[in-house]
Amino acid sequence: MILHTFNSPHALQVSGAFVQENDQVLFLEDGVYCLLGRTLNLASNDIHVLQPDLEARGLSDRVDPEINRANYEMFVQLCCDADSISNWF
Amino acid sequence: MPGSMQIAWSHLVPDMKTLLFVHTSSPHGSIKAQEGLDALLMGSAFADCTALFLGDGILQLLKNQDTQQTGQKNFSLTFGSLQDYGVDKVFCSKTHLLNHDIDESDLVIDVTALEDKDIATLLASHDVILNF
Repeated sequence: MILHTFNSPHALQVSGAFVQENDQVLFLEDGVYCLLGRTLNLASNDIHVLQPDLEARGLSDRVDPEINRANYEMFVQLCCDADSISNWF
Repeated sequence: MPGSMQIAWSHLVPDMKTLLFVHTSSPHGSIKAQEGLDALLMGSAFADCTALFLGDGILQLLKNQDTQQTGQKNFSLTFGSLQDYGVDKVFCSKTHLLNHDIDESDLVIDVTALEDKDIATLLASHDVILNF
């Protein structure tokens, strides 16, 4: 299982197609803008967003509450649980 | 395809890590592309390395780059020596070649163009993924 992190909407556009069903996805930094009112069209449903980056951009209430919020500790846990990590930027 | 992803001497060192270097940055707008190539060359000294070019990263491999007037280093010439460093697995995205209107014959080295699903498999088959 790979943890894919996306730090911009451009990164998602280029590399979103390489996410597989059993992978995990984390949106962080400007990548959190990917979650604003559009369908993600990712093969995986295991989607997380870094809460501090959402809050910094004033987006906490604008992003689907179904998306898992991760704090920094959970971010570390996600990394530890993955077989490998691909940081798309 | 799986056969071509392993090179002979990696079997002699069973615990050798497989590194996948993913290049997604265009060549001269930032230092990222050059850093990626430097890291790949260093990695090739101690690990089994594969290179994958996606998105704007494909632009690093374009022929006819000439940086004489901008004063930057034309590192596209270095890709020709990847083979000498033991890096013989070089891939790119078939979709992204099309998106950029680039043909494989426009590139400085031989690259195997992969479908999206094969790129996902390539990512999963390496121990470590390094993105530049």
